[in-house]
Amino acid sequence: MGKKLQKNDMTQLKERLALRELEIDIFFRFSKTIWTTLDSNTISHHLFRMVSRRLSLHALSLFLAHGGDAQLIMASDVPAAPAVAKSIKTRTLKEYSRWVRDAPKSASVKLVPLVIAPKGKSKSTVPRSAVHHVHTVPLIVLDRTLGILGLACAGRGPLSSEDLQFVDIVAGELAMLMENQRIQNEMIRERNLLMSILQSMTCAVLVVDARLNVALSNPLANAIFGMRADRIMGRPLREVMQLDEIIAMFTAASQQANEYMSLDVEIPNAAQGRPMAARVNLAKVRNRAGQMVGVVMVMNDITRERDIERVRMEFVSVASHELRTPMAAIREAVSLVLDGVTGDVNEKQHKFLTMAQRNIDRLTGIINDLLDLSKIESGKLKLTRSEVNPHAIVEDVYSTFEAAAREKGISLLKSPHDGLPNIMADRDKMDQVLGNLVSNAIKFTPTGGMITIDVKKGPPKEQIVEFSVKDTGIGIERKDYAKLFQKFTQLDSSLSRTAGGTGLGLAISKEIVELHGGRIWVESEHGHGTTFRVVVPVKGQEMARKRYVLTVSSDRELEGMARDILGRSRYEMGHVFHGNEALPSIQEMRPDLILVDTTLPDMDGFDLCRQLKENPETALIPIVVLTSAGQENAVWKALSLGVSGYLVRPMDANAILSTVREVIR
Amino acid sequence: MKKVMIVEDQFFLAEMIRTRMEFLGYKTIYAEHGARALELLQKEPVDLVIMDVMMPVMDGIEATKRIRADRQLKDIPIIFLTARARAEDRQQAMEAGATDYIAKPFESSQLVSMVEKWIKK
Repeated sequence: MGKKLQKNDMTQLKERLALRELEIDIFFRFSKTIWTTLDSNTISHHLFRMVSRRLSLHALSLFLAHGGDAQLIMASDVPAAPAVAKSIKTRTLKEYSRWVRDAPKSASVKLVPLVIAPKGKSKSTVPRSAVHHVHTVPLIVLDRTLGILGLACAGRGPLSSEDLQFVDIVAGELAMLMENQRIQNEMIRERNLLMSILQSMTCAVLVVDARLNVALSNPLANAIFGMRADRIMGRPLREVMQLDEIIAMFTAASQQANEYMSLDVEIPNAAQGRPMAARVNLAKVRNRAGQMVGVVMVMNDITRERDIERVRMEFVSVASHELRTPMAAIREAVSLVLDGVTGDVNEKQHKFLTMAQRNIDRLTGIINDLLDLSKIESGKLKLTRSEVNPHAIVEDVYSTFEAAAREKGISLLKSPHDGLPNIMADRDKMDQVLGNLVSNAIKFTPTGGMITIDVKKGPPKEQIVEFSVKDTGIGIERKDYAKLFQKFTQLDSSLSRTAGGTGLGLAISKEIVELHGGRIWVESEHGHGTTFRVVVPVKGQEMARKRYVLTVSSDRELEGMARDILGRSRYEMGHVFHGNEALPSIQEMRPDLILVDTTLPDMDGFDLCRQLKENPETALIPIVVLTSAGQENAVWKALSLGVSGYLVRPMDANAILSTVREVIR
Repeated sequence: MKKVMIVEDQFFLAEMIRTRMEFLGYKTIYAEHGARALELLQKEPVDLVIMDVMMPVMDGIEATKRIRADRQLKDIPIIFLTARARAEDRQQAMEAGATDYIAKPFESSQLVSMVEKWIKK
């Protein structure tokens, strides 16, 4: 008995050992296949063949599920496979899906045996003798069901627990294989899409990682920077290109606090040594955690635009000069007749000729404005400074416009001499600014009105003088204040027809005043007259008074850092803790820049910005807001209010300095 | 009678300046460009020159430099009358030796007062 049992045990053990050997062989071959090919079809075919052999299966099918629907993807080359597949599909899948939905995360239930008992009159092509059991195994990866593996056993009983264990492993391998394949396909697709987008772009794109190694580039960038696509990936930027200014920009972009950087550069030897004007935009690339992982650069070739612009400037300049000679002739002809050189002039003739002369002067004014504008746009508007007394400027303007004001029945008043110190200024250009203000005032003040030209010393702490031109005209609505100083703007187009002018005057004035290191702004109430104020430093910008920066923040550490770095760079610093202290301090000190913390102890920093921008006295003082990460949306709100810049915590000293310089420039 | 030379290639403008100067009681001499002006000045010195800048053959800058280099002519006041109104143009004119400078289109009264200011008493 015992012997017999032993013999049976031995046989059983041998069989089990053989099975294990087979399984090991299967997995070994499977792994080997994976190493040698990445093609999932080949791999699954191998797997199918080996599994069929191990389990003596009649059919083996693989279904992929998409939602509630399933699709036969692969079947072993056993004749009955399609029929088995069909039966699984029609009878099992719904049931299975429901089952998976009810207990999707359960790891213990992965094998669902299902007995198909074909009825005698069944039209099933499955041979009655062949199919006894059908098993379905879900293919699960990370809680996601990818599909079903269907096993049809032929001429044997249901799978044993050892068989089930084997099937479980195979299902896991297969699921992993499919998932890898899916991820790989997705990556290839995404990469191809990205590459085709990059290739079709008409601008150069270059991306580096946080250590300035090349991560991505498009053909245009390769051409411009003389890089070879196959030799640059992962290599340090300075090894793959020679353009120091571009490398410097990447370095700066990766180190400074600002997220974006944009500048125009000349690249002396771009592709094939051709010089190129480029507009470069750089932005930090951040991962989901907010860490900087690289810098992306997008660069546009603006050589053509710049050349066109240059030609345009030259044209404006030449055309306006060409206009001057004939205009001089017309003006002189009219003057000769008007002055009686050619004989007596009657009253009507005198009136018409005067009108002609005035219109020639208007044309001259327009030409001068256009010329000034083209100079401003090309950055060629320069000052010729000399020591001049502010009263002399008032005097110049007064004598120029006295007659015109009298003619319209407006009284033009000027402030008495008050022993003001001389200022370093361009007298002609300051005459132009003040003259423009007075000329506007005459235009918009009705007969019987009054215009006052005034000049006085600024607050004792500051070395400035303040000119003002005050009228009793129609006034300006607050909402239009900012528009006033924009080019080509006249607030009421019907007025421009009666009052004339190019709408450039104030834009040009603003530019001139700012070149002097000063500021111009307006105070007015609709219907109650207008006062324009111009503040210029006593000394020229070269020996400029220190720029005054006011910090509004309760963050002592931040304030200390700003004071330290800006103070070292010769800015004068002021500081208030609370929002409600800010306004009086700003009105008194007239800072050149205000740093406003968005979170203040007593009020919302953005509200303070709004108040400052709505108040005509402070509207033109640039503001930089100091925000914390996560307030980006609010920053856009602030920028739309007219804030000039922003800094995001944590901010470093250099970022503060560069932003302040940029804004105050 | 004081003599004023008008150097201007645009004849119609020169004609009008001539009319104005003669109305004021000056005798006038006309030259259509800088080279002609120098030639005429050798024959007949004048009390003041009104000089255009951009002219064919020889421009006003060059003519002025040559006048200033001539021992006989160097003290003649020269008023520049030019369509080039930029600050650097003014600078260039002054460096060449212009006595004064007026941009086109000019106000007659301004030209007249300038002439009266500089003409040799």
